[in-house]
Amino acid sequence: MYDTIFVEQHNKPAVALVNRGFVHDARSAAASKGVPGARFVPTNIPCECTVPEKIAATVQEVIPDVLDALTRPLEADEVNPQPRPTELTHGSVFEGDFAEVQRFFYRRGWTDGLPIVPPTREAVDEMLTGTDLAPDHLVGKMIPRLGKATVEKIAINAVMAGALPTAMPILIAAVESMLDPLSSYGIFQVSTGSWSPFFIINGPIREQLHINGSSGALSPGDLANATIGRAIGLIAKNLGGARKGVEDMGVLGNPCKYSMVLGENEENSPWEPHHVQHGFAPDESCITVSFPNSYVQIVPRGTDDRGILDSVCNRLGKSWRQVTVLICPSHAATLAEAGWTPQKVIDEIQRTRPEVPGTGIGRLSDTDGARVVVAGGPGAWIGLVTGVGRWVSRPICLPANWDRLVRKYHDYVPNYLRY
Amino acid sequence: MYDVLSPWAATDPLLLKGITPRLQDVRGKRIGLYANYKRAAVPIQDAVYAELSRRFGSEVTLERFHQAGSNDVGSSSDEGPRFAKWLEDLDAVIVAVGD
Repeated sequence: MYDTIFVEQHNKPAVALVNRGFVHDARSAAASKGVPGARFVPTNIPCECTVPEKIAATVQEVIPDVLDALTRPLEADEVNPQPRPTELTHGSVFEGDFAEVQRFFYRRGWTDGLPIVPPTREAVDEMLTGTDLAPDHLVGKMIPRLGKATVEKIAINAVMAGALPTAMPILIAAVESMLDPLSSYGIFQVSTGSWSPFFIINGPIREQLHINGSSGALSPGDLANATIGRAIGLIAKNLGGARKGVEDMGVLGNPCKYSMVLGENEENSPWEPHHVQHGFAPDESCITVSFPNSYVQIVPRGTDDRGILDSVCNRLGKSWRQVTVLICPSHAATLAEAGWTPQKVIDEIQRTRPEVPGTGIGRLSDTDGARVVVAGGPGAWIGLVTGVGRWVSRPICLPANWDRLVRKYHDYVPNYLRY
Repeated sequence: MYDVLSPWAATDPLLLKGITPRLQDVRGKRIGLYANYKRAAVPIQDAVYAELSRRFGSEVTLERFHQAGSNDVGSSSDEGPRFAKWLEDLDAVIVAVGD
């Protein structure tokens, strides 16, 4: 609808043909741009339809409605639209016991479906010890509402996710990385393709926060991996305002939206860390975001270098556009012993792809193609994380009290009983 | 008891705008047919073109525009100005969205 609004803002009458399932999305988009009365005609043309006869027949049916929308005189609320109710955004919004807080937040649509930690003033103030930035510092505005991602709002959502204050520098860098236009967050967050933010963390902060990059790194169970991703999901929802089926039109959805955060297993990698390959210093902490929508795991048909690479290339096929290849340490060692570097691996993967294909569903920013990250624990599985966009990296800026903060929370780790 | 803060973000005040007065009739007018980047958009544009031509013949003038990128066209530095220029001589626009 943004294009329709653009036309109206240039003082030309406009009408859009919109699939019937996107009516709420169209209304929300028009309202978010300040033109809530923008007219559209719902149609039964299937999304992404490739059948011209079906399109022609449906257009023939709706043309009278289209002509009506271009010629019917305006109603009063179309001439002078009235402001709509808005959520409370400042200060205390509710007081109650734990269960009442859960119900209040869930009913307002402010959670991810799981119980949240109540964001009290005290808890938020503790979260804010994780940054030197002022609470009202504006990191950016998040689509589709252009909600202001201030440091305090990020902290409130971080508390809700159960994150520790040491996560704040990562969350701020994560929001910055998402808001970089190169990430195409504005498309991915609301797209029918259910793209999910995937974060790779590099540098000393992995150990400081116990960010898992080894066994089961992408499984639940690690506080940092779990809560950083969860906080980002809440930030996208509560700051950006992307609600399922209204603005976030993901057809199937994606469980990775709960959390997809990984530390690179730098200590068990034979190669330079991912962030160093892309211009960061080894002792610098860094976050990299991309927006894949699929994650598959394969066992290579052979454990020598050719067996590993051929399996990756064959599984990817010819039509992929962007892939993060998660190589487990044993395979990385095998490849390195045979002379392979991450760049050579990337070149080999690219070589087997005849051309960069279009997806047929629009043109996103050109992709860098492939990246290689060492991750996981003992074993022989490879992860292929595929999407259609780019990777964006940001340095993680630490507060002056960082060492003290890390010491305060460093012992907060699970100690499994050895049975 | 918990006294909790709002996680919802504030936004800048939004200036609400009414939509543009409609046409008396499409006859004698120059109608823009816009297709966004989605796969079905151009075929929809084609169908609208064909149907309007069938109904009105030379009584309406039809002009096409196809958005190549997938970003918000108005904020696109390359397509935005081209789109705005295209709009200048039009009387109304029918937008074909692939969804």
